[in-house]
Amino acid sequence: MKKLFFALCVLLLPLSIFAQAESENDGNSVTVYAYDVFTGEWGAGPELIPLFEEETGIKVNLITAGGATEMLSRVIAEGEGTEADVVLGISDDMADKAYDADIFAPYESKYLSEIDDELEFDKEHRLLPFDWGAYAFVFDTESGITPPGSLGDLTKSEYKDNLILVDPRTSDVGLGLLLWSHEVFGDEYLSWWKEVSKNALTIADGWSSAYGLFTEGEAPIVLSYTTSPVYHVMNENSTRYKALVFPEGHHGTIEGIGISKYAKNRENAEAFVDFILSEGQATMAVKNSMYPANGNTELPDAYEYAPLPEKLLRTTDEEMAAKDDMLDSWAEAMI
Amino acid sequence: MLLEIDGIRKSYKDFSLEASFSVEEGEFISILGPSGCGKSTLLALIAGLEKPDAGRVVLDGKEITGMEIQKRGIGIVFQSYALFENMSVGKNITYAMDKKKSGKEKKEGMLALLALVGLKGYEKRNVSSLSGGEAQRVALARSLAAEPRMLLLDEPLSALDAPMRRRLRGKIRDIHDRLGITIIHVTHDREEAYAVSDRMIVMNAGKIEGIGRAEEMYKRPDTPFLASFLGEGTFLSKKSVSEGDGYYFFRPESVLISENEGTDAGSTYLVLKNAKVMGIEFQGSSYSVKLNYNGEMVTALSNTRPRKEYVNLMIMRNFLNIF
Amino acid sequence: MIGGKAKIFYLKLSLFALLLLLFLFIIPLSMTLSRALTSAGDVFSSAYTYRVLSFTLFESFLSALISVLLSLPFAYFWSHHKFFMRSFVLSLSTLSFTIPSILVVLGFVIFYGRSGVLSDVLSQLLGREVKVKVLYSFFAIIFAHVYLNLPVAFNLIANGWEKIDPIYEESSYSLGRGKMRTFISVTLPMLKKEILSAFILIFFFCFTSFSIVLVLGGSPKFSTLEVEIYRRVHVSLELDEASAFALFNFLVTLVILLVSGKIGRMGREKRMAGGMAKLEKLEGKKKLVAIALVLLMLLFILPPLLSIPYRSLVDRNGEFSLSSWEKIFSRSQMSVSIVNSLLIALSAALFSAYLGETLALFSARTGSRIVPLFATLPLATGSATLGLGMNIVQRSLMPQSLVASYLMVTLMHLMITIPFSIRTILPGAALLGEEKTLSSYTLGKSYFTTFASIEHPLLSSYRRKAFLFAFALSLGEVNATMTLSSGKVTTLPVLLYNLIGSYDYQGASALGTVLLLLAFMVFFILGAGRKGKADVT
Repeated sequence: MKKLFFALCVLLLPLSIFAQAESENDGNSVTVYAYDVFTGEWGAGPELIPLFEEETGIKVNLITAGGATEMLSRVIAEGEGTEADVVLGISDDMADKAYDADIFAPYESKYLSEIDDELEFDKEHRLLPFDWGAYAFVFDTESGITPPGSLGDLTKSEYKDNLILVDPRTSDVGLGLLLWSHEVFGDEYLSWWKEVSKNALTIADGWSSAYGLFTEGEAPIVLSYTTSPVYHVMNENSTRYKALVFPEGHHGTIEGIGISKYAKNRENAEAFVDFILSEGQATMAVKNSMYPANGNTELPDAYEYAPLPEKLLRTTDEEMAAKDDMLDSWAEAMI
Repeated sequence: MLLEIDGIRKSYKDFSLEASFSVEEGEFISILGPSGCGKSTLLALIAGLEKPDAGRVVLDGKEITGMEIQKRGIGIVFQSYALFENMSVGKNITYAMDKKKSGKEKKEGMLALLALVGLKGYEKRNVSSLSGGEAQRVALARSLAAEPRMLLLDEPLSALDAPMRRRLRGKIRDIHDRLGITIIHVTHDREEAYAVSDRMIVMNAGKIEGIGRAEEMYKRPDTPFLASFLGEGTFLSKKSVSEGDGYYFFRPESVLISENEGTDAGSTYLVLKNAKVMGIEFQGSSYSVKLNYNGEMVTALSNTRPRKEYVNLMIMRNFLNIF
Repeated sequence: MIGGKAKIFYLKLSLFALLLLLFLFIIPLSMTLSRALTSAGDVFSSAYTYRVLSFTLFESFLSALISVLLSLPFAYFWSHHKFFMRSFVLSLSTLSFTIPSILVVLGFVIFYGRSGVLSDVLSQLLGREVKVKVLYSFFAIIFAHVYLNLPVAFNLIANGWEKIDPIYEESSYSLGRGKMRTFISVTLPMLKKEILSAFILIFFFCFTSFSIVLVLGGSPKFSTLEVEIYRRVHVSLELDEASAFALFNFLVTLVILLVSGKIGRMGREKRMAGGMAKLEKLEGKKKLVAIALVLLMLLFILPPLLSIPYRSLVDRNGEFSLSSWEKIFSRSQMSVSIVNSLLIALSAALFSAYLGETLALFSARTGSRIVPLFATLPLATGSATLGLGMNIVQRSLMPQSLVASYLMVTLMHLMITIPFSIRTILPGAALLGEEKTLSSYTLGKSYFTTFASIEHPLLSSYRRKAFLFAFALSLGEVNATMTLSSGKVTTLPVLLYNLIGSYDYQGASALGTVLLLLAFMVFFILGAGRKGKADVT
């Protein structure tokens, strides 16, 4: 019994300590829902939030619910009752769900003028682009094999077991490749997948394990982003890994930020969005390993190693609508 | 009368038990029977470990049939000892004592009980360091510490070797005599039952076959089962002697071997003439002799080794049981 | 066996745990399942669903079977002999539970990969290039599952085997039965409860596994049902369909649990609580066997585990560097997450062990088979479904606060670990019930006194084992923590995922090493604490 009491104390101790830290902050604040990429210890959040708070005097209440999809499903489920003023991290590939649920209110930020029109995936400006990236195959230059020149090349027998892919059912990156293949091969995309999967050493559950396998040297080609080499240049001073640019184009993904229709602090929310679209751009890009949406952003030199795709392929509305069916067909064909 | 078992019944899928009997204050009763006869179940019903389907258990004139185990005041010693390994020998015993007793009373009582079972100086010992015999005695002392109205012993000695069994059964009887406590003791070993008990209850296949004093039941068994279960003996068909249906039953020691021809003992003895000696087994103080009489096997116990191949057998009619 | 009042006592004793489980499991599940009906038809009638299901069943069955079979010789040797490192190896084997699955995958790749340590060593030895081909195959899935789960079978079965009175085996030998015959017809039936428990736990652990299946399997042909649920919750955001899959998963699980319950009922085993296997000191040849088995076990457990500290210190060019350690310890979040991880794991594991004990006792005393089955459901339902449901509960019932976040995370960990606790403690509770508990009753002691002075202390070794499992599981848990904490509770695995998200695998390995060290420390303290006590039952 004594031990049980002790156990109770152990459980309640942290609660009581942190309960005090839980102060009322309904004064001048803004509640931001963000995906874990932003809020994580090594994300842009821990750097940008204090800066924003200092500059504006607005307290940021940062909440994360895991990845972008979990966050979106949470905002949708909360509906009118949501505490979110701002939601950060919804990509164009999943935006349709947000539009359907009608949870964002348009915002005509003054910084939209500095953003390339092509990136404004929501013409109604419910979601505003803050960064973008392009899926690409990253290549290990020390592997001694010839780099492939196109998606089609990847099916060549010389790349047998030299390729690490990502499963579209369990990862956004994998889903990106599925869309990319559809944009390049049209209705033939599944036969490309059947061929290329023969060459794949494995089709990992997520980008994290795929890239981990790649850097462990399991295979010299991995599905990732054009921006991936930047990390290795900046942190390891290494140019060993190169992103391959294919002439047929690359599927792009654009990440957006939006203000909730039910925001209680609309003005503060606008200030936060503006901050992310201007001052926050460089940090966002570097930390997320993406390109900034705002064209006036100054980037570190290492971005020279993040080649811009010659052609950016974008998800069409039909594709967006057919996405779930494409996944089903993919699963049917592959399994 | 201390305990009365009145028409108690318990049924399982492939077995059912039925019993009625009573136990006097201070008695030492053995329940004897082959394994699977239901004797342990009977004990469990008395102690309240199992609930009967029908019938009553009455202790001290009070019905306790549905009463909780704790409130019955019936102690039980299991075959496996069931000592608590998280406590020392001494703790095992004091645990069983009344909570209201003072620490000093408990300690004194515990030491006295250990002395009673012959384990002086064992109080600090770890129970897992005890031998089987020692553990059994600690279990006994622990049961006594709770000051029960009566004590149930479930095959208490069956896990021990033969010399230890003999020593310990004397000890248990000794403790019974000194404390005057009522004991019901379950065993499948008839020698053990003969040695310790005042009365025996013999069970077979869920029913009581007989109740009585050991000698009485040995010499005058009421049923063929009792006859064969309680000791060696010969079933001889009546047909082989004279006329009629049924069997004679007699113990080997009731048979006299006569090597004189023309033995005639009149009405005191039943005489079986010309039995052929088939085998002789030397047993120390006597010889066990196997004989063939008119094609039936007879066993006799003799102080001398028979010399002739054909002998006459004389059985005192007083010791002859007829079924 | 015992009367109604005793049953009521055990019901009261476990009431808290029962209600908690009900709250934690039934409510979120029903919230999830209530959305299932709209798309249930499509999911239930698709051939694809059944294709995936049959692979899931096959893979789980094989993993559980092999884990159990492989663990038998080790469990036998460990439960019958006393030797150096005996309990150390037993505890050590649980460590693999501590590492989040992505690091398990990485550990496997670092050691067994095509350019892994093993390939390097073999290349050096043989003087030519060797690429070990173990991974990216069906074999690799089973290998990794067995790797993760062998400790469960090993610990549970060794624990049970220790308690079998050698008298049964000896009497079988004396009847002229050989070792094998005796093992199959005497020992195995008495170990049935432990074997079945281990089998069920492992089966469902593998039933909901998907990272290992996808990455190490190397082909989407190898997919589990959990992949489909995960896809709809985390990628395509089709919650109705996800719920339909969850419902399907739940029904399959229920059927399997009920069947296993039936198997468990057939022929109740009898086992004396009196004797137990004497731990034999080793001499001569057996000493060599012991050394060989310990080495074999270490060789099995250690390589993927040690790959993680190795990677944290040696970069991919083979150069030694402490930079990743400097990086993680320069963060203020580091100490906070160590404290968080420890606090959450300790409280979840303590509660799990204590509540698991009350539930195990309730189940053993009332003969209820439903409780352990019911408590296995959270494990079998999978974290994707549960996380979804819990999130709904959290939003509708709890205010958004730090306290709520801590509470939800700890409770979720409690629920994930409780099946392990119950099944670890259950054999002990059943064993005690035979005669010790009844003895105490006949001494006039109340149910509570008997529980507090006899059952509870005598179950301490079982509880300790349950605690270790729960602690290790909770320490490495990441999905539930991320989903339920709203980012307010940072634990080491959360930090670890953040690092991987920003390309830093070496830093993640350093964090993984910290996790291992923490678990190791706790195991060591617990191991040292038990020496003073008499071993029980």
